[in-house]
Amino acid sequence: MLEGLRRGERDAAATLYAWYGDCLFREIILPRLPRREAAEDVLRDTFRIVLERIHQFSPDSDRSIYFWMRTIAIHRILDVHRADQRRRRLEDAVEAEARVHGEGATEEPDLDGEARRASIEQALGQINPRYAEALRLRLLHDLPREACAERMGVTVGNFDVILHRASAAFRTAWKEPA
Amino acid sequence: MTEQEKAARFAAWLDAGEGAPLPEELDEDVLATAFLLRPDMAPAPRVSLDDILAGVQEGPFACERATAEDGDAPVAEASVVDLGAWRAAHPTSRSTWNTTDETPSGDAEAVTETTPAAEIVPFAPAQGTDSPAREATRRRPWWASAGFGIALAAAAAGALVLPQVGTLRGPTPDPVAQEAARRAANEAPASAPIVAEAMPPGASVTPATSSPQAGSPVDDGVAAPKAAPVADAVAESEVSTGLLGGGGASGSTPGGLRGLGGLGTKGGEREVARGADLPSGYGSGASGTAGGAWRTGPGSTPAPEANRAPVPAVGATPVGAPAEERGFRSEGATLPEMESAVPDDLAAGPAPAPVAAPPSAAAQMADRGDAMLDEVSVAEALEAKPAKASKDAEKKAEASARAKGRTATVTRSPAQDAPLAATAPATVASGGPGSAADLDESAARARRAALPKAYAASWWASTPDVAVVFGRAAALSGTARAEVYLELASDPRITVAQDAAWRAANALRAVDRARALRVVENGLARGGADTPFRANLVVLKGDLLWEAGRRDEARAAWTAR
Repeated sequence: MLEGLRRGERDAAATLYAWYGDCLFREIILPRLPRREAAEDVLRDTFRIVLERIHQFSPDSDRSIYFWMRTIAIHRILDVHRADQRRRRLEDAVEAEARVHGEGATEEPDLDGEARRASIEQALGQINPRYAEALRLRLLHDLPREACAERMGVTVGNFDVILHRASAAFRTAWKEPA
Repeated sequence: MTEQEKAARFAAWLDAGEGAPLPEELDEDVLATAFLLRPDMAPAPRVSLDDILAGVQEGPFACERATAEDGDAPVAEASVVDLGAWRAAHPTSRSTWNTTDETPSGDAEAVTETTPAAEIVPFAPAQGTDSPAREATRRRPWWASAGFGIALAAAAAGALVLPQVGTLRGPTPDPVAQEAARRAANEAPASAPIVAEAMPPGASVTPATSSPQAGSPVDDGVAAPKAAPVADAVAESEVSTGLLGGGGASGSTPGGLRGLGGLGTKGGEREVARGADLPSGYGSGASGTAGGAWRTGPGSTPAPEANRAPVPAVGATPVGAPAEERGFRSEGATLPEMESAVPDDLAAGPAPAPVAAPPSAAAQMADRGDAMLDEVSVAEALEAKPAKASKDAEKKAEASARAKGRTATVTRSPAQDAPLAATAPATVASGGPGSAADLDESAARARRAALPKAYAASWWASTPDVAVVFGRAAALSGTARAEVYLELASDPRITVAQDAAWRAANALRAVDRARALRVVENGLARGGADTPFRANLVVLKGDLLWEAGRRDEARAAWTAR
């Protein structure tokens, strides 16, 4: 596929996009830029940059092409946040992430495995325990909201509010794993 | 909007599951959390590959796009002839090269008698007028203009032809004829024929073909070309695939005989370069174009300026656009033409490589039980330590398979990333009416698309209650194993229930396919969110149906996700 990309083959580009487009959008871009249109712009820019600079990627490096694309996407997100001063706090978070995964990083982090899971558990440990419980029940364990409300001993309406507050609190506490 | 209203909208969106439109009024922090913890809830991007490619400004994809926007046909790699390979595959068809007449195939003597390599080819007016290459052509100095080139062509043609008719008066072209030729060239359209009007009176250039009936030997006045089949000259050379930026490139091969060089066009103007040496004295030079789509011959060495002469290209083969569309008539044939000119016995290429035969049904049946166990063990190993254990587990499965002399069927774990899942082998457990060998391309594609995308990690794996059940199941096999997994099939956690159903169905697969299918159906009924656990069930359902010979239903199952 990489050879095809370097030759400018459309099929190779289609393969790359099919492999990474969706997960890059859902896992990397949208959580950091939860505005769909802006996130799609970042996705488009990311792949454009990848296709334009594909010759700069070395398969011999210890990082996968997904890591390279992910770094590009995060920097593009940072650009968007810089252009939008109202979202200063998110910018700080992304900047911190960019530092973590910048040039100094020598090993590709375990992005989707234990490190990420640990970062989420850490954030859950920093917020109100009831908020953490609500998030675990509804989002991680995928329980229906009625079951969640019953377990927490509240009404469904109250659970909805707790979950809403919990989501906002979690995003404040969550940091990308180092 | 009050907090309660926002909370209600957020809850409704979560309940709606995948595909529900994003509630616009929600805070970004709330949505970001949802996407972080449940990427499967995130909407799919509405960006197409065309959108991306449209924005590419540099690199190989920009070249492709620029070529298309210039209105010229993109240079098709497939149109470039690998002459060496072709000749090797058709050892007896040499004389058919570069011939479009009735020269008998294999009649080397007949071709040898006709030495013409040069050919005057009329050009039709150029297509497209505003390309950058054409603009650059307009800004060229006078000595690089078409008129000057044609005048030089006339002079060279005179030098080539006049000695043969016994009227050669010297190496210097007649100035009157040169002026007439220049005037004619200036009046003529850029891509008008460069034949007769550019010639001095009395001079004649016979269109060169490789047929014995037409043409005369090419004599450039330097060295008399030794007769040899045109096919040799062409076939000895390798075809350059480089896109030339304009002007000609000439063939340069060891030899001693000066052949005719390449032809370059820029937006319809021609710049013909006299080639360097060719082994057989026949012009098979390169022609290059900037937006003109002409390439052929060994175009590796630019022709020295001193060698530039208005000699028509020889054997120029259009690449990309059909010759007829550009008003081009050439004896040099494109690959399809050449192939069509080859007799049937010669056109028949080498036999296709043999395809490995699929394993026999008996072997597949014998392997089925072990394959199933491998799937489960691999999946468990992956899930026990999703990130780091995945490669080890795969290696373990492959090693196990190698020891058994077969290919392992490795089911991707939900803990693995989407790209890997997407490329997982489209393998259906063997045995029964349907088998992996029967999985056609469309079915394999549908199955690949149904493979899980690990948007959500297996958070539940750390819960003690689940680990205990999985530990008990690991010590069992077959139906007993499935029964243990089914203890979790009614778990209120949908992900746990669906994963347990998948494991149970896998355990039942070898012993009771019908029950396995029911277990899968029950698991699917638990939730519709696009989680890896549900995707596993979808894939397994299709596999079970395929094995049962219900192929249409299997396809429908894989595509229904």
